[in-house]
Amino acid sequence: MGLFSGLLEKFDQFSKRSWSYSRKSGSLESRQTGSSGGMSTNELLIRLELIMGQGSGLPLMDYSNEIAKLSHPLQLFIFSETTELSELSYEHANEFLQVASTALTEMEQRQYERWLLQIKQALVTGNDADASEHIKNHSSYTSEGDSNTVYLSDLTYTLEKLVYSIHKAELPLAEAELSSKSPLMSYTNNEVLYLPTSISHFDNYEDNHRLYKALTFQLLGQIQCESADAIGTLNEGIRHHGEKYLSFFSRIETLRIDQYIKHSFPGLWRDIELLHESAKIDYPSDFFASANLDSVQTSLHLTAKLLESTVNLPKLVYQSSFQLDLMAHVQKLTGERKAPLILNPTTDVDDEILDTLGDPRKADRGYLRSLKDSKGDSVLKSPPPGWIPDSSGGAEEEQHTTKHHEKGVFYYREWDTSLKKYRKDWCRLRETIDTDVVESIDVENMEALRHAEHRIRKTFDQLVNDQKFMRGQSDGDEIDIDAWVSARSSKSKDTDDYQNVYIRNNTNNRDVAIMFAVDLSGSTAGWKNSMIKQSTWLLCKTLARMGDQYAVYGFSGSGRSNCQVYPVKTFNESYTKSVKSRIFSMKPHQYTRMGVAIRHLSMLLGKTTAKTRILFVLTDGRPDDVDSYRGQYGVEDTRLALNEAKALSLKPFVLTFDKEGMDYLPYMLGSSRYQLITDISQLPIQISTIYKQLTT
Amino acid sequence: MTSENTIDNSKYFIKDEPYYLPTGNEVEIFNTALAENIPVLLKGPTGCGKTRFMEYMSWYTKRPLITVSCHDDLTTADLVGRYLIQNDTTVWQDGPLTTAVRNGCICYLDEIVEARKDTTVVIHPLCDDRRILPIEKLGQLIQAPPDFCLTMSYNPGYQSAVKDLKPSTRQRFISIDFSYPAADVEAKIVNQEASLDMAACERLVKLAEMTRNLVGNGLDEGASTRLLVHTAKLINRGFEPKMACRCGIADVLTDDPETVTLLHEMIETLF
Repeated sequence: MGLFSGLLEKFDQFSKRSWSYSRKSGSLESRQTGSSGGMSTNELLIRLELIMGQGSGLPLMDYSNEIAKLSHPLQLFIFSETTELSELSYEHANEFLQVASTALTEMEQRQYERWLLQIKQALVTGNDADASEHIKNHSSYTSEGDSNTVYLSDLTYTLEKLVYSIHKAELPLAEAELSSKSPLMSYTNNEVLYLPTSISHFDNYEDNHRLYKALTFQLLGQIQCESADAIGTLNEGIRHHGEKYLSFFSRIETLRIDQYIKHSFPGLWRDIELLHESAKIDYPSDFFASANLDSVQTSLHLTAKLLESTVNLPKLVYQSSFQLDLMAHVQKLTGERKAPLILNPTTDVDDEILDTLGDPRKADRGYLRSLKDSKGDSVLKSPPPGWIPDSSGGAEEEQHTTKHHEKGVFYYREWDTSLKKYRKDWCRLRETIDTDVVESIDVENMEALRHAEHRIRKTFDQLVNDQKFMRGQSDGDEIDIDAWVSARSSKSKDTDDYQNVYIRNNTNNRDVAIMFAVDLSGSTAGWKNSMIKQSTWLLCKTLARMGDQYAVYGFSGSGRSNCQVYPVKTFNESYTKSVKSRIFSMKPHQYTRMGVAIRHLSMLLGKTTAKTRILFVLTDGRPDDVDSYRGQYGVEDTRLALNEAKALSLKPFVLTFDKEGMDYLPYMLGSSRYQLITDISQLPIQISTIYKQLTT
Repeated sequence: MTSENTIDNSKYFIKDEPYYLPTGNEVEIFNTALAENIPVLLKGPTGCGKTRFMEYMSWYTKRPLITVSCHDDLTTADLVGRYLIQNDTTVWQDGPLTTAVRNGCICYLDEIVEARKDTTVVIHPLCDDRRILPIEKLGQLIQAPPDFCLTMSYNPGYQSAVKDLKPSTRQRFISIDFSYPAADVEAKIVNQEASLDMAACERLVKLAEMTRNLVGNGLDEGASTRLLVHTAKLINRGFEPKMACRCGIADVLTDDPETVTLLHEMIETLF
């Protein structure tokens, strides 16, 4: 746990229940009075200074006065969000503070959560201006949504993976341009599926949820059924017949894709039929009865026929749009991508790309980036009409390519649970060797430690003995002559004696690598740190006898750009005096950004070749960092990091001093992968016992 | 030393034809390997039909099959044999490998990489042109008869690098790759094994394909043909298809709540 978090938690504890209640009720702040137990102006000011910095020149006192009018839960919410925003953009955090108290009193919980999500998404994708717009336009969110509303952000993860499982390639979901005429507007450029930010079309949640799925599969259908092949004919048709042609084609093509859905996904088709009922649509089931649905040409052919007839097809509620410009542009890029990477300076697009400082190499980078952006998961915002690949931001790209070359520095992604996405290269981690030399370490003669060492040795000796020839076994490679003679000469003539007359050779059966990840956050200061050091020392000293590969790393840091791991003993080192010195120079540092540390140490452990590989995390509290890395966010990221470790065939185990650990550890790790230690003086013996359990 | 029959081979014959639908030329390759005395390595994900193929080939070639399921504690003695004490004397007991060599059987070492590393070395002289099995404790060299064939299987998908086969072992074999069968073939297999209607089998196969596409994206392995057969049997016994898929596939593949939700969503989409 971090240094400040203790202080902050004291502030927070009182309000947890009321906050939880408020979130559930989703009540408006105006219904809760400003005198509902909120913090004083001074407390608020201190907190704001912690986040925004003292002497920042910002009117923090004014903000405090405004926030003081709010209830305690909302005050806490503002601090948590301000912290998160300040991590993304200090200026936007300030802009948020300017309107926060007004905005939050106007909005319901779902609305302000939605509002903040929009702001954060804009910041993450680098659209600072959009983020400012969102902050300013907070009042537009007051009319948004109710309990029947379904939000895209809630479904993004599931729908993206579902689409991936069918399409075998990533098709990110992004928010469509808002359209007052068509709130259900959805479209695709064949690389990204653009869907409405939220849907409240029906008066029940289930139907709105079904509608999202239907829209998604319609867009997927456009790609799988190759609707884009009709672009040329469509443009021609529009020139001759106007927008009516596109409208007719859209309706027919939607019906064609329906047939694809009906055939390939009967479960979803059942849902779509329910939508027809809810929307009271008279679905033209027999429209394609005699048509060949193999290609989009069928739709084009029928469109031409329909123009001459009086048949009126209904507009289906899940009908998606065809953005011809967008599709054509991406098609063109895709064609170029398939072709050799030679830029054609005669086209508009390439002109723009080449315009990036006139350097051909930079133009290449701009081109490649535009391709990446049009496909990568970083795309969260829909392109404006007439979209062309963004070729600006060369400096940022430059930084991205060079930052990975810093020696001893690693970049790791982080899971943002509110966005349901990984933030790519979000954490900057540095391996730092603690250079503080500890001159004299007088631990050898400490009585308590000698006792602990004796206990650990005994535990480990059992392990070592277990590995040798095991005599008197019921089954084995060799006959145990001694056991047989003993059985023969035994007066009891017990038949059991004759059962156990073999020797089993367990040599080389033990193949273990263990990574000890030690939390060195500020909260381990004092006697906890002493116990951690003594335990680590005893463990290293005795583990040397076992022949197991082991490494010890401390971890801490402050903020995502300053994550640290401290190598104490690497896998390649043997236990030496310098290792001992490094163990006793382990000292408390700052915070506990656990996810990035786990990812880094998993990577190191994953390189070993042992049969059993254990990631042993020793910590004193839940994930916590100076920015918004706390609460659900930290727990979710750590959970994902531990899952990633499991995917590398590593066995994670967490030993914690945190009495509240049972609240989150079962969720983070699953059962039997963690243990709470209540008496820290027993730490050395506890570790050795757990070690034995884990490795046998 | 030449081989001699020590067992009643008929016990090891597969009498009834096991159901196996060839997906390529694996039967021809295996037959050629038998004819040329080349050992065979079967590679493929779990539940894709490697063991069933061996049973089928044993039946097809009318050769007895001895299967050894390898595990962490499998030692050389477990394969070759050991002395046992009976009454007041010691008697030699052949291990399954020695039995197979002496009797000209097909010896199938299932999931060979699970066995201890020293175990695989014992098969080396059997797998090259020498085709001999040294039994140190007896001081014997057994020459494998022409009918003897050694086959091993392993799953390269979920094995870690440390459990990979050594090149010196690998390069003694010819390899047959068993990926999952094509969708129509797999649907036929499920249909045949579980007697479920073809349309439902096709949907099950579609679900399996979707889970296989998620490997590395939340799943370690996709649904195997074996899982599909289990699920199809549940459906055939009257279970509602969605429930059968949840029990037979989704909850078997993962414990991660998010991935389970995703798998349930797939089932809802398909059934």
